[in-house]
Amino acid sequence: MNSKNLMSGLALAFFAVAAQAQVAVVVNPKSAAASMTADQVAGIFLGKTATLPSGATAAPADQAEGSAVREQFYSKVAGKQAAQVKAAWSRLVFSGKGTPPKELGSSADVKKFVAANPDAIGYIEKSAVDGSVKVVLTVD
Amino acid sequence: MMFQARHRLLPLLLALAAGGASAADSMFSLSGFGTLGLVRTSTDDAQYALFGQTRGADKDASAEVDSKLGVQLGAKFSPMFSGTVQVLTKSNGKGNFTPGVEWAFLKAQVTPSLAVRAGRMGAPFFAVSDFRDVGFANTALRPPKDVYDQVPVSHFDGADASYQLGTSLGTLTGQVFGGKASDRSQRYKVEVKSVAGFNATLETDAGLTLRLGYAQGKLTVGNDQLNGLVTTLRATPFAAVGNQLDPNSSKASFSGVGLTWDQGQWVVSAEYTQRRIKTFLADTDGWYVLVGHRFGALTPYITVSESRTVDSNVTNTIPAATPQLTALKAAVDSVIEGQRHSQKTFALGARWDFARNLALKAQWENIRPDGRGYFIATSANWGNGKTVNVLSVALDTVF
Repeated sequence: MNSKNLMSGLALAFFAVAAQAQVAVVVNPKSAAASMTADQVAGIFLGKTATLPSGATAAPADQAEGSAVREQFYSKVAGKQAAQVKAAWSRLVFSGKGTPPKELGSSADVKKFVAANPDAIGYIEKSAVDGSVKVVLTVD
Repeated sequence: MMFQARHRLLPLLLALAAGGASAADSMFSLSGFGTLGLVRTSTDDAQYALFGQTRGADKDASAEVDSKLGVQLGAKFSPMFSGTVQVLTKSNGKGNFTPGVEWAFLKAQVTPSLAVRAGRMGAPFFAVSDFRDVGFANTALRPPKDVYDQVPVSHFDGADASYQLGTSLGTLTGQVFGGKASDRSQRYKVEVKSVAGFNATLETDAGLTLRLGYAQGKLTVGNDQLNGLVTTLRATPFAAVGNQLDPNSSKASFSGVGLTWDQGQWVVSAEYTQRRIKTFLADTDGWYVLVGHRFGALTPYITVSESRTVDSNVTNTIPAATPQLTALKAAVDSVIEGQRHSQKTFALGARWDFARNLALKAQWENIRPDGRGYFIATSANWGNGKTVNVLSVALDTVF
């Protein structure tokens, strides 16, 4: 493996932790959910449940693999590292039980997706929140 | 028949994959997993192999035991209907690496909590049945043989239904399944008809998963030599011994309880299983406990496991009265001895998640067999009380 990449990745991860950016879990403004617990959100993003608290089938959106916001979301909301999340999804994918959340490239893409889909759920930096989405959980 | 099915399925898979690549927001998803593994042991008196394999490792390292490649194609036809096909190549019970169709099923998500599947799917005998071949999905280098080597089939053809229920304790999933299974185990054809069973799993938010499972069926092992011995015995006053050895349509059952606790830095998993069969195959109990701890990307673990032969299911009442009877008695004894799968294993290992989708694992096992244990190709020198050290390394990936 490229150890230089690994090192810069580690440096980035430390920087992200040091920066302590807040992460907001967002849903469509029309969604009935006013707030959600970390367990409820983690359940959807780890494939333990397919539904939103309303009972509708959730359409979750992930951020890019390796991005700081994604690392922070999984460590704060689910208490899991990237490798654990990947292993958890490989257990579901290779038993035909589910497919991982759709992966989007940026917080802008997540907002666009969530604003357009009443059952969508995603996460973005809190600073990126605007009127097109509704915050149901904030972690820092 | 498998051969023909494969040749029909491969072009179909390719066509589906090509179609998937051209569709913009595709209904198809292609994923895969693989392991490159190397095993060597401290003895040349027997071979270390998995699950029906025809050859394994001794003092000469073998890359065949753990190495495998799986490709899975998923298709979502509508919010309700989806399909999954998985093709797997590994050192199999026929003694080659010919790819086999591990799964090919259609799934109907009838309601968000009720799903029905039909086709070929993973037989849910164990806690990690479905992803036992996906090294990346598991902490340890491979599922403990003392438990996972008890059942010679990994998939079945039939149907299942599963229902998810949210309770105050966590998510409860109930599954019922039925069908038939067949495979090759050490070149012998193994068939299980009238398979029926259930699984109940409780997954709590605190990272604890509990599982209870039961399956039964009618097992037939296509062993001409053994059928010949049964026929011979039935022509003697010891027909009862022949009946006990009869490898056709024997009632078989497998039950297990398991727990997995994966929270924070700790990983704990344990299973206790019982195999009960009315034929020359022995009744066995198998259990293991695995404890691991994450230190960043490194997860060292310890596994303790045991397989016990509870009952040989054959009472050899043949007296050594004449040379012919002595030979017959010895033939029966050798069948019984060949099925004595008692062994104790202590394993130390570590998993290193050194890159995004790559894990490197190393494992040392100390195995104390009583009888043949789960070793194959035992030599005349294979003796009581000998312990065997097994060293394995594996590189796992998912894509």
